[in-house]
Parts: sequence; structure tokens; C-alpha cells
Amino acid sequence: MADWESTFNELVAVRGGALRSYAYLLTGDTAAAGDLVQEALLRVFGRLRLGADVQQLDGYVRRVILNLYVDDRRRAKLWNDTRHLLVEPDVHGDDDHVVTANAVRQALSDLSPKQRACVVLRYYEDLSVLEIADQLGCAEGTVKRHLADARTRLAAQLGVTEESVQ
Amino acid sequence: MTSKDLKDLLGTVAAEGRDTVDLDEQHLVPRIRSRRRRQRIIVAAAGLGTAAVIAAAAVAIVPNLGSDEAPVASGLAANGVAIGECDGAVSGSPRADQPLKLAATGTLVPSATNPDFGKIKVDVTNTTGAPVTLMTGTTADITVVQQGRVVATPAAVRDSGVPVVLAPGETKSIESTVSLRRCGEAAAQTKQRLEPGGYEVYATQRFSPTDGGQEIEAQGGPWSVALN
Repeated sequence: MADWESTFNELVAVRGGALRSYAYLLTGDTAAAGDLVQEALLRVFGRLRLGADVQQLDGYVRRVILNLYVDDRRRAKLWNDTRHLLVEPDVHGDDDHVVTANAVRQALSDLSPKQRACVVLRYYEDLSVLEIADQLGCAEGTVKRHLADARTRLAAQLGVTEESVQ
Repeated sequence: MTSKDLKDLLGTVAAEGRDTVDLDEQHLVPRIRSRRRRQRIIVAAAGLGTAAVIAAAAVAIVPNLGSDEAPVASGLAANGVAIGECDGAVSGSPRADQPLKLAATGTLVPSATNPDFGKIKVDVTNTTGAPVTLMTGTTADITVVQQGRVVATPAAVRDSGVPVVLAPGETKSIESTVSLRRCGEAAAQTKQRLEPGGYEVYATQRFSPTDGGQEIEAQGGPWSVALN
């Protein structure tokens, strides 16, 4: 077995679950999440120069997942912008605040790709605003704006209180 | 609901993803293997390409690298033989694959009326397997050489077009004018002629096919001649 294969197996065994969760939080779809993780692993392990540090490789794969997700969603923006013309959106009753995983997924799906990425990185991955800005390649102010906008929209659907994102 | 609650809910969704998302590693490994193989080929090809570019650049930059041809000096220089200007060196030999072959025959005969010039007969032979119809000048350019140095450049003569038709293997003679005046600025001022003795001559003559084909530059020499 080649060196990269043993590293690959180790990464999947140790970090595979977290990578699947991460991709699923971003996409909200099992098939899309599976494709995303596979593509990211393919791109990282497809390179000839590869380290053996699983922790570092995990970071690379997450970075690729995030970039692929944001880029794919950007390409799909036209469809997302017009899909409401074809599909009747789900209506959430204001009187029912029973929050389920389904509701979270639905609420996340209404966010823009970058807003969603910011929410996942901030509230699930526990990254700071600075770290999120670095991951997404944008300014801290932009991250704050994305988080504020996302919180406003999530608050409307999930009843999240307005808090400082610092 | 607080941020803590949101984190917990995200954790619930994440757990769902951990259980439901299929990674399909069994199919992924061969794809990675294939991509790495492709990468290796690309890297190897890029390396070869770079080496080829460097080699090509070296051939382009370094004069005559990769070529056995002698450096072209100037003047009558052409394929095969490089003939320098006055007092210049002559190097190389006529190409063997010429369609027309030149050969000097007979002796160098000084002109009875003008001792600055002489005559030599140059035979032109069609070495191809097809008849040729050509236009050429009345004389070949004859360069006189002594000890590897040009001592007399081709005579400046009033020229005119002469048709030449040669069957395969056929030979025709062209009487060419030879300058017997020593070349060089100092020699020209004193109108110095070549001294009697042994010399070598080279001939160059251009032929233009009447069908509009590419001009042929035929070369011949060296032929040893004696000037009395």
C-alpha cells in the first residue's frame, strides 16, 4: 500500500465523521455532502506532494470543502434566485417554535452560501471572526455583516436571540 | 433561543450528517490513484517539454550547435561552401545533393585583350532524373583562392539571361570570366594582378527554373589551376 493510501485511510478513520458532518451542515443534503467530501479528498490526495500529518490534511480538506461549496453555490445562484417562481416555499407558522433538525436545515438553506458558511464556522466549528475571514478570504467586517444578516434571518425562523458575534 | 441553543441544533444536524452521508471510500481510492497517475504523467511531460524548449533555445542561441555546416562568412556564401570576402577563408565543400553539378575543365586562359581577366570552362550537369529548363547568367562567379584565402573575387561582368535545357545526366559548358586582378583596397589602387603560380578556383552559379520553381544555387570547386 502506498504511503498516501495509509494516510488517506487514517484520515478517513479519524476525521471522516467530522468531515461528513461539516459538509452536511454546509449543504443540507446527504448526496451533495458525500459528493463534496469525495471531491475534496480527491483534490487533496490527488496531488503528488502530500504530507503525512492527518491534522494538517484535515485542515486542507475542510478548506477545499468550503471553497467548493461556496463556488458551487455561487454558480447555482441564478437557479436559487428564480426557483421561487417554480416551487411554492414552505410556510413556517410563527406560533410554532418547535425547532427540529429539519427546521434548522430549512433555515440554513434560506441563507446565502457565505452566510451559511459563516454560521457553520462560527457556531459549529467555534472559529473566531478573524479565522472565518481567513478561511473565506474576505474582510472581518464582511464576516460580521454575513453573521449579522444570517442571525436576523435565523432569528425570524428559529427564534435565535440577537447577540454580539465578537 | 441563544447561540448555545443554535450550536446544539447545529450539532444535531451534524450528527445526522455523520450517520447518513456516504463517503464511498472504496470507489474513491481508485479515482485518487488514477488522478495521481495522471499528475505524474503531466509532470513528466512538462519536464520533457521544458527540456525540449531549453534545448531548442540553446540551438537557436548558440551558433551552429547541432549542425555540421560551416559558418557562412559573407559574399558568395551558400549551402555547402562558405566563401569569404577578399582575404577571407574558404571552408566546406559543395553539397552532394545538388540537382546541378559544376565542374571546371580545361585551363585558366588569360584574355588576350585584357590581362585583368581570364576564361575558364565550367561544365554544368543535370544530376536529377528529370529534364530541367533553366535561365542563368552568361558566366559563373569564379573565386580564386590561394592557400585557403580569397585572392580574387568574381569578376564584375555585364550579364544577361541565358536559357539552359538539360536532359537527365546531360552536361553543358559555360565559359566563365575570371578576375585576375588581386582583390583588396591596396591591390586595387595599384591594379595589382595575380602572380603566375598555382591557385584554386571555386564556381557559383544561380539557375532559375522557367516554371517558377525555387532558384538553384550550384557550387563547385576547388579546382586547381595554374596561371602562367
